[in-house]
Amino acid sequence: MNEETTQEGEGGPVLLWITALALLAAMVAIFIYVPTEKTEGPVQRIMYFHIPSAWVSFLAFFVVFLSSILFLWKKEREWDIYAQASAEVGVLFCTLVLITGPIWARPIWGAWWVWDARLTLTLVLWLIYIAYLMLRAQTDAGSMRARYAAVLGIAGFLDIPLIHFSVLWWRAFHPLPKVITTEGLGKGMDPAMLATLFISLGAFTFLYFLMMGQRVRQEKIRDDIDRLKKDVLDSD
Amino acid sequence: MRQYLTQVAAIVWKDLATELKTRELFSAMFVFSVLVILIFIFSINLSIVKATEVGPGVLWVAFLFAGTLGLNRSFMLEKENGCLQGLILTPADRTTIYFGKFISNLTFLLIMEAFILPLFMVFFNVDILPHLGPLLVVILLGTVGFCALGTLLSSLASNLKTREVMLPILLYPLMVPVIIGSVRMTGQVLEGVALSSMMNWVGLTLCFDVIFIGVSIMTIDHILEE
Amino acid sequence: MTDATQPADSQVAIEVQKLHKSFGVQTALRGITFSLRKGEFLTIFGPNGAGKTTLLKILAGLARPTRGTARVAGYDVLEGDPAMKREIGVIAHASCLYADLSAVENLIFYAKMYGLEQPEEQAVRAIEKVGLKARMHDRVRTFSRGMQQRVSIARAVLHNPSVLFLDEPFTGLDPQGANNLKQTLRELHTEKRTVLMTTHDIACGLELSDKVAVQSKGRFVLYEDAKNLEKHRFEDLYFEVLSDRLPENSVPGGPGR
Repeated sequence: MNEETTQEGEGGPVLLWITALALLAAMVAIFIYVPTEKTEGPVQRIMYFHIPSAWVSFLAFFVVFLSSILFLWKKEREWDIYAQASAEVGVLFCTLVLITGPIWARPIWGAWWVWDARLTLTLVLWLIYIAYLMLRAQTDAGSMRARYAAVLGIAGFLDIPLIHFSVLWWRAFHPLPKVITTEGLGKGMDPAMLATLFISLGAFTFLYFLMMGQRVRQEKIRDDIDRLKKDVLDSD
Repeated sequence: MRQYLTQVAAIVWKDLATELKTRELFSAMFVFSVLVILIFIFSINLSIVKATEVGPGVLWVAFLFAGTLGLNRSFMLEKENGCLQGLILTPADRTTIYFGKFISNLTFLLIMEAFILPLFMVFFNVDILPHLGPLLVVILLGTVGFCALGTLLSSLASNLKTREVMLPILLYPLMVPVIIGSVRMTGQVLEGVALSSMMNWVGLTLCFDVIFIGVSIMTIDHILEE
Repeated sequence: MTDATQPADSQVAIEVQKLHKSFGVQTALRGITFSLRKGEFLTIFGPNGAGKTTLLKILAGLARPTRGTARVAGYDVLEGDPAMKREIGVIAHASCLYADLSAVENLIFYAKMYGLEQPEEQAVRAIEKVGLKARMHDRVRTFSRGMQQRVSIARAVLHNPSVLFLDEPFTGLDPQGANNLKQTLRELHTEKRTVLMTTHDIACGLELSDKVAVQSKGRFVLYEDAKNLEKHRFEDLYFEVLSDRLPENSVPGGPGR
């Protein structure tokens, strides 16, 4: 968690520049450097957005889980802010996964959506964390919201392995559609493609921490405003 | 320990006594799940589709919907005259409230399922009697999972303004492993497959049950606090 | 718990120090300090939104204070000791009764939750005390507000608590019901029990209590022995102490209470 605490101080601009450069490098790699895949054509380049987005959303949901545990343990507002910020960023990237997936799948698989295990898992995850954000929106600010959200943040993450296996076995009983797994993609992959993927993964990870930092800062400023308001009201 | 069990039993007894007097919950759950089954039957053509393939899905959707109805109602009862506050004022450990509500929810749902099964047999023309043993195990495993997580989340949702809407939104995505597992297992059991050849699903559902009873014990204090 | 406070504990039933409670931007309590000796009856008056209910909730262990300490019957409310809950009875505005169970079933249920011996006998005895034996097998739903409150009182004192909290018990009662309640409270109080009540009913409050407080905007603005106050003079005093504070908070768009 140290990354987030430092970046909202003097680390902010540094991280901003690192992220900007990394993203620029990723764009250059994706659109100029990496060769076009032979069978899939240019649409395959969307994978360099799709896979990093998936990685970031899993990372984000893991941070929600850790922050939720720490909140229930320590009861410090800090952890509640981390959980909320990470859930929001996670849902954003999860949405990107769900948008980029079908765009790629339509020309390659010939269908917008295939009930493949990985896709299904992502969709269920998206629903869980949308529910998490709805729960936060439904309850008034305060310790109740933080506690309820934390319980859901913990339950949601612990459910992920179970969902994973269930959707995996669910499909195993049917003839598998023509699925190209990411492992399959990675194995026979051109070194240039692999390098591009890693640059993109790195850039997206920086982007996650940058967005987290901004969101956390925003929420803390909101708290400060509330505190000032309260002081004014209390001053009589 | 004896006192703990007395308190859990008191909550269960209280819920059952209320239900015996009003019969509101059971009748609502039962009629609702019959309707769900009926609507599904209208939307599928049973002369084309194999009953053992679609039947289990329909059965579990009916259980799930009726169960949600029961969960919503169950915590509304505690909210009506501020009873939940009265419970929290007592020296009883808060996990007794969880276990009490869990057991009473489980009891209602299991009884309702016992009434639905014969109807399912008739409507779908599936002979469940030869497979009754494994079928009951499968239903018990799934229902325990549903009630374990459902009781936790309905105690949470009962404090929200839009509790009836929020409960399924919170609950269903998390229920995915149990739903898939139970539907799969039910389908296989009805086709005469032995439970021993689907131990992966049995294990998964059992894991779900254990994990979420555990999570509930650890977190119920934080939910019932004001 | 230090030795120095030990002897005081045996005489002091409630000790509150600099209690603060805030919900987000709103502040409900701003430093309340008082102590009550065993067997005393304190009535807290004050306008709606003064934080009276919040104070009772903290003392009953239902809510946690933001700052400050409170001890009830010798227990720190922050620790949430189950033994403390056995010493406390609460009569809130809500009856905490299951509407579809009979009066006696409700009391048996609570007796079991409090871990009492012979819950059935205790429940019947409690219902006799509040004079509802004839209707003890009827559903609570069919009871009038006054009768529900009598059952609720029976529920609150079932475990013979040494401290009793009452949150606006006179609200919604007809004159006869209020009279009955006053009588019941008098009986409950003479049993060597500390009582803390909030109410808007000045006459009843003054009549019953030993100590009187006026709470406004999360603070006690008056704390007096009841015998020093006469009814008509107290009414004047009440509005005086409240209006004293008006100029300071007459800011337009002040706290949404």
